[in-house]
Amino acid sequence: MAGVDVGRKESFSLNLYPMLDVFSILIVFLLMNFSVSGESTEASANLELPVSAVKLSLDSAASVSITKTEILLQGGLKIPLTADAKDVVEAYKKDGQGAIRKAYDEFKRLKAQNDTLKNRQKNLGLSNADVSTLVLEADKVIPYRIIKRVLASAQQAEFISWKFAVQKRDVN
Amino acid sequence: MSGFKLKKRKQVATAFDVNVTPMLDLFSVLIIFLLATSVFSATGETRIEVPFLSSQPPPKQEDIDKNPEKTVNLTIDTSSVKYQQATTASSVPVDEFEVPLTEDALDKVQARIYAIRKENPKFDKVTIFTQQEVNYEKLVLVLDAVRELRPGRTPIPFPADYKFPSGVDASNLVTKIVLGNVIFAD
Repeated sequence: MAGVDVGRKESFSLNLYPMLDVFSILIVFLLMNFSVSGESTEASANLELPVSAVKLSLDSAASVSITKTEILLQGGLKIPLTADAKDVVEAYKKDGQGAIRKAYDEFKRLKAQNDTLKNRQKNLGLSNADVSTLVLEADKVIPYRIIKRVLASAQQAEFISWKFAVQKRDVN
Repeated sequence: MSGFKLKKRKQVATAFDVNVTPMLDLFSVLIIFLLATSVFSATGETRIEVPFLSSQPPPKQEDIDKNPEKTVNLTIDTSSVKYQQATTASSVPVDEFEVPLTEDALDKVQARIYAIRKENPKFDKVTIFTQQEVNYEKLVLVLDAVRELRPGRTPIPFPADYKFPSGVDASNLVTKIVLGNVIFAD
């Protein structure tokens, strides 16, 4: 058996350091970009936001969603939209001022809550958080006549500043 | 050197090798967690104002006539956008045109507003009147044209004492977009 090296052992060791380097860089990158505070609208077949060139990310605030089937308010109130949104339009005709009664009542309640919060912040000497702005998330096919009713309902409850949610074209 | 034998100490080679495998495991778990929970905020926002009925008396006509300011109104219908430029002194348009409701055609609207801002950096407000059947997507198209500068147009600085409303900055073409026909019955 001459020539056969019986006692020789070869150990294969994988060099993991470059992989570790890559992972470290990736973790640093992800931690720097990590955000749990950014608002993300719930993906839904009934709520598809239009694409926009805006660069500003959506900030959190009380929101109103107008899906293809209903209007959803932050407090949990749901106002169904029938096939031709008759409920909303009829409500408008009855009120005569463009507001949806149920939505107006909900906005009024939210306004009272916000005022209480503002007073508390003032008493505690804290800086006032911007609670007077609302977020509107509307499906891209929703006609303005429905959006207008929601805006009018909020306007009568003294909410006049809005953030319209859109899908950013360039995600950074 | 007789009788003294230098004993050569046997050299023991000790290689310290850090076991990086557990660290690698931890990193892998961390990366998966971060990727799964991160919100790469793809949702943006554009600020809008709704007019509010004020109990304050309107400014005197004399004052308005002395120092009239430019106003820009856009009227959106399902297929076109009408641009009307007037002044606070007179609602008769001094510049008026209509463009199709497409991204490319709306460049003409932005160009006109850009020219006004170049001439008067204080100009900051555009009022939009939207017809009932215009959908949200089309409205956003117009809002983009009014606020977001297109490639090739550099931001025009606002006056040093200008107070920016929240959610807008100097990179925007105008800072205030008002939806004009919210409070009126149609």
